[in-house]
Amino acid sequence: MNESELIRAARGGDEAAFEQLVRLHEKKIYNLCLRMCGNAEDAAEAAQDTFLALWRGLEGFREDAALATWLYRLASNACIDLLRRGKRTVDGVSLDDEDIHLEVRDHAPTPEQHIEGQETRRLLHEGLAALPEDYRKVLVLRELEQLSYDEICKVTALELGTVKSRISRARLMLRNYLAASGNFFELSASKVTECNQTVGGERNAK
Amino acid sequence: MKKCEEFAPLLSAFVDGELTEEERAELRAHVMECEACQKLLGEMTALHEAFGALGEEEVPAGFTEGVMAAVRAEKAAAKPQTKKRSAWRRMAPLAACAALVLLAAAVALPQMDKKSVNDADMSPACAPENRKIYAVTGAPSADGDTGEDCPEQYCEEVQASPYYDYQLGGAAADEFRTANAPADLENGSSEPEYYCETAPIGESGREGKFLAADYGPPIFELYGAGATDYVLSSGGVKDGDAGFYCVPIAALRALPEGLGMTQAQTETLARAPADAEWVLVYPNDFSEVPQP
Repeated sequence: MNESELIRAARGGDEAAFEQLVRLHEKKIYNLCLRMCGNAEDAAEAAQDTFLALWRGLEGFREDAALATWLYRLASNACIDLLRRGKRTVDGVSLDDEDIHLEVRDHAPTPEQHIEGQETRRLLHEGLAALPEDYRKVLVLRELEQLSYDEICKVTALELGTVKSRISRARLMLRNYLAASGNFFELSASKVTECNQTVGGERNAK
Repeated sequence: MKKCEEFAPLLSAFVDGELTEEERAELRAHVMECEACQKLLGEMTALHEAFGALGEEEVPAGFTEGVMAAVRAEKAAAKPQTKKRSAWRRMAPLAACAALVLLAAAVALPQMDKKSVNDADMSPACAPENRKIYAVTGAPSADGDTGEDCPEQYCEEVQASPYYDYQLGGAAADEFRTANAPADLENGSSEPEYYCETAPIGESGREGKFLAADYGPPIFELYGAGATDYVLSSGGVKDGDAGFYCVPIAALRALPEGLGMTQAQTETLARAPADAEWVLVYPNDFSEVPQP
């Protein structure tokens, strides 16, 4: 069965069809939740809430809409619900303040931590966790789910201008966080230098 | 003329390949002249590429099964309610315990033996010769005798689903909880009214006093239970449909080392009426056991 057939079957109560839908999308959704929530336990809970919401909402799902887009929206909402419901924080960083107060912890790496890939990933995770939810959401959809701006608009129901500015602002916040945290851009120094000339270079314009 | 900060959204959109030709030309003209924006562009690109190296994590084992168990529980729970305080009865088909309930510890708990049964003041009605078992009890019968023999077929292993976070009510009780719970209710940490309700335990049709709350059945999550190693006996759970089972509250009050509940659940247990005997439990196999 293709996805449309699976959706129709699941809507009719076919659990096996629904299970196939879950298996088709669970990795993407779990990873979205993981980046949003910051830990595996909450991510699994939010991802499960997402699929339960899908199950509950199948009746109202329009067949001409993209299931993935809807799932991303459900997942984003599930993560934010989870974080707010339990007043949980991501890696101990408060998300209550809509203003951008990014507390930078001491990241002074030991020599052993200077393994570039690991350190970069660790810093990115922490920086991402420190972003306010609304900004983290769009950046995760863009960078980790690799959605286009247009797709992010559909998922978040935001205007294109808002999506653009939030992604930009999220990157600036993340960049400030990482710059203050020490060595992220030292680790990536070669990239920074390489990119100085790319504006007129090979990147594709839209 | 635009200031540098006004170019930030363009730099960001450039990194994403989302600029029009016109915007791109405008950005190019600025960046060629502006060292700060060159640096910022480099940093945004470095960020973008670092994300690309993050990769994807695998979904935890048992996730799909957990979702499907939740879906089935929700289907079972979707039947209309006739009275408020009988919400937990929706669970009965899922959690219907047989005349005997067995709790068996995970492989990680080989130290547990029948001694803990005695410690928990449980009656070892029919302990198979299996060192995994730590608590065995018979359901209360009409005359209070719990020492009845246990049919062999009730002692089965079941595959429970680890990621279904029931806490107090969970997804299966969502509908009911939403309709009845105080607005600030949070995982049992608020103060619902707890009471006992007499209900059938398992297929025997005999009754026991169940802990209930004013918005649904308290369902406890037992951390460290090691779902696949847990053994229980329950007519309703034999098919692995939902992973619920009933345990005597006395057993929860004397949990062995390695098993735990959340603080909220511990508080709930502390507020349970003195005559509550049974509670619904959902096993959870998180390897890190949060101690109450």
